[in-house]
Amino acid sequence: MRRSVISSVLIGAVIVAATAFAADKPANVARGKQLYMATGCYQCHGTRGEGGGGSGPRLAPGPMPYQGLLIQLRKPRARMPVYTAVVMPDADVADIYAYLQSVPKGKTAAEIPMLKALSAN
Amino acid sequence: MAVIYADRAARTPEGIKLLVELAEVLQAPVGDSSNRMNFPWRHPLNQSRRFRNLLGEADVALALEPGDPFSLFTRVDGRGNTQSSLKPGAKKITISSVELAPKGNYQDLQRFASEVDLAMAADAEATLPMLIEEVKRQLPASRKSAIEARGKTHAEAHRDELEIAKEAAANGWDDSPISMPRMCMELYEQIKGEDWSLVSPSAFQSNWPQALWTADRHYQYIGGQGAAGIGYIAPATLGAALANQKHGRLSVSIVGDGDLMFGPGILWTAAHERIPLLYIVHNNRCYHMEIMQLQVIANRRQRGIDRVRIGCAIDDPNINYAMMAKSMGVYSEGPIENPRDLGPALKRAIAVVKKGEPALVDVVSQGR
Repeated sequence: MRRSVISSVLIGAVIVAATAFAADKPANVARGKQLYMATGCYQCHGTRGEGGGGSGPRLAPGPMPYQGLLIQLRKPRARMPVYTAVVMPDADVADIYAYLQSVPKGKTAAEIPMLKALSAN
Repeated sequence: MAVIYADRAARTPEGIKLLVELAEVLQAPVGDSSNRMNFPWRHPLNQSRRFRNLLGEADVALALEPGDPFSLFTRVDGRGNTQSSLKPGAKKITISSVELAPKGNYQDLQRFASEVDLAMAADAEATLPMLIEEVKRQLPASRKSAIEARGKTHAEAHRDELEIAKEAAANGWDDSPISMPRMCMELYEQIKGEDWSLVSPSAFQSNWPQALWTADRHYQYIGGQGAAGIGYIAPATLGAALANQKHGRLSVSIVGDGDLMFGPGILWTAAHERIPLLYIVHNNRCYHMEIMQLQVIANRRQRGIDRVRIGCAIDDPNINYAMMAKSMGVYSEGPIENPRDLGPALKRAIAVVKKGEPALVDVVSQGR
């Protein structure tokens, strides 16, 4: 248990350090939102990162760790466009990540009667 | 494990029953391409949402009438690299009437077909009774409990997939532009008590109807064009609505704004011929499939994507499809941007369709 807590803290510290290193300055949520739209992320992932079904998975709320996002952009798995540092510098990625982190949690299916009523049987 | 992939497999209502029988005999998971109604959407063995993963675990993959074997058996990443969808040693079997016809590389979408271990040149639906009979004859009784256990695992996975889809649909529920699951569920809420027929393909809506709705009748989903044709949906679905008319079915079509721009005159035909059909315009204000493809290519070339909207975006000015429909004599609602307005607008439009007239609801929507 103690070991897993220490591991979690270390992983968290690495992610925070990586984000700060990438940006050299505090990440900018407003710029991140503008970049998210301008660089076409929304086309497949939705304007709020909500996900576009088979076209692109959910990105927010609660985005994946920063390093995971960076790796996916640089060497994407599946059929996602590759975003090298030439077309999306690390500082831009950090701002986009800050925007994704800022997206508030939405409703759950249990809170939406139309969805709650759906059953596999 | 054997997996079954159905593309344009069921030609008749009997084809759906036969595919269900084959799947149940084997308790094999089925992946439906969504190009046609092949398999009931809420059947426990319908594993379409996770079929890609199952394909990677399969020992044998049986593909029935696969239109594009390459994309089924091959994974392509954002850099254009390819690898097999199946694990080494897994067997690929196809039963396809396409094999009966002379073929050119155009029919494989200019790609070489994947190597297949056994390619049977035959009509899949006509072959299924013999295949089912042979499977029943060869299945040893000793496998019965293992097969039943496999079926229970798949049923549980189907239930889990529905719950996952529901949560995914909830995320972004109140967004504007309106999310695809919200649009599809608002529609389903209005039609689920009717004898409905979704006459348009669902791929551009990320197959949300298949993920969330219940459907098991052959006419409840007509499927797609089959040749990636553009401008197909608006006119073809009017034809389907005409066919449904004498059966008293409620026809609904979700048409892209780009698709409708290829032949908007069909709206006048719908009004002139008084064909009852509800058009919902999935208005993402672009030729969206092109946008996504251009992003892939532009980024692969490291050009950036700042020019991919040229010739693909349908804005500046935005098109008011409701006004366009009205000008041709079709009842219309929209453009709708607030998701709360969508349900009431659909209700009013469906009331018009049930009286025997076409109607259109313009929905400002997310890309997919």
